[in-house]
Amino acid sequence: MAEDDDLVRRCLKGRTEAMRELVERFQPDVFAVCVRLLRHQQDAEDVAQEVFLRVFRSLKGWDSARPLRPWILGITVNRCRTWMGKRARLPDSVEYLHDVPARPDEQPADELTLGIRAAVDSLRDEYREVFVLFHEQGQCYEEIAAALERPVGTVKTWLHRGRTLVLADLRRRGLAEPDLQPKTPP
Amino acid sequence: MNPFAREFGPEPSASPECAAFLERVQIALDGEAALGSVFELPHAEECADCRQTALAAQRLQCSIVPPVELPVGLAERILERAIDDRRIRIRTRWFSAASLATLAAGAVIGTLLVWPNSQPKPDSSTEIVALPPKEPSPAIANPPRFDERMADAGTAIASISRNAKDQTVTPTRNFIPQAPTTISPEMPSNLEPAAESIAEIPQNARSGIEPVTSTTRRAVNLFLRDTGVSPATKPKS
Repeated sequence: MAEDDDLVRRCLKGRTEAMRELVERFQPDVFAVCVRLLRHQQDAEDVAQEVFLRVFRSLKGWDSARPLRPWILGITVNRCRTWMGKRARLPDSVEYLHDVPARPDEQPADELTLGIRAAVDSLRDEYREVFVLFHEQGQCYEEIAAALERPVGTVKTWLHRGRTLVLADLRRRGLAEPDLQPKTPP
Repeated sequence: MNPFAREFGPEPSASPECAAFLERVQIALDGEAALGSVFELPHAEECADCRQTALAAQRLQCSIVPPVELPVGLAERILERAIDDRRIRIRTRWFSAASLATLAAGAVIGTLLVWPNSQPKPDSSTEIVALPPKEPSPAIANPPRFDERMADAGTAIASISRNAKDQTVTPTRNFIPQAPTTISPEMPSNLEPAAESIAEIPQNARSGIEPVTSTTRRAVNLFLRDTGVSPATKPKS
């Protein structure tokens, strides 16, 4: 917390090295969340830049009693929502999403990874947000609740419902066959 | 009702045992228990659906989330854009402050310039007729001064008053007794009057000189008023 406070104070003074430190510390999480929520590489890059612009503009309003990471992830989720809203209003949004591959530079993933990703992508936005923040970003319930500005109980409910749907999707895809069952502990 | 059923609602085909099993799966996925422990439950052997769900949860938990590869130069682009944005915001803030100050200064200067000339304008409905130009008169060339005019008026009034006084007082000067201005102590107190009183002359003669006496009395009063000496007692006519 004190480290975050010091970093923010230096950023507010306009020190370039502090701004660089903040970007390099949080850009993997920000960009990963953008990619997982937007499902588009170029959009994720654009939104990630907007997220950091918004972060630097709003640093004065950051509550130093709260950790910095959930605050930045909250901004990230909000910017992704705004971007998805804009994209949904485009007349050719469907063709746009189909024409552009989600991860053009990525190596082909295995069947299980693709199945999980497809199942998560099919979730509604709130479930996908909490699923990504919990399972892919390693955020706890309290941090997700702080980022989304929702009660912990709501976050927990969304995550459990999302998990139930993902598990059902994995079963439907045949990715939970008994021959894949691991050995139970003795 | 167990917490899982309270959160997700009762499923039509889910038995209480299934709901309890799925709740254990959720708890394990939350990281509060080992997921392998759910396979030891008797319900995992009894219910194929729940066992498959537990297997899917295990696959989900064990699946390695591939790290998202960052685009090359993303940090540099973000930093460059953030610095530009900060510079623009600072410049905009200064420009706004300068604009505000300029506006305020302009308002003050405008007020100062307009205020002395704020005289009532002629009625626009009145027809303005252009008069022929007049040649300047000598009086206008040397405009009269107020103090000089007042001094002339005072002199004229004083001369008129002096003439009236002279015309009144001079004919009646003989009626004024020639009394010594200084009274010596050795002089007798009971002196004979220099002339007789008008009241002692006969009535006919008195009526004949009545206008003269009235005029004289008025003139004496005016004279005494002009000289600043008020008579102790008014003469009885």
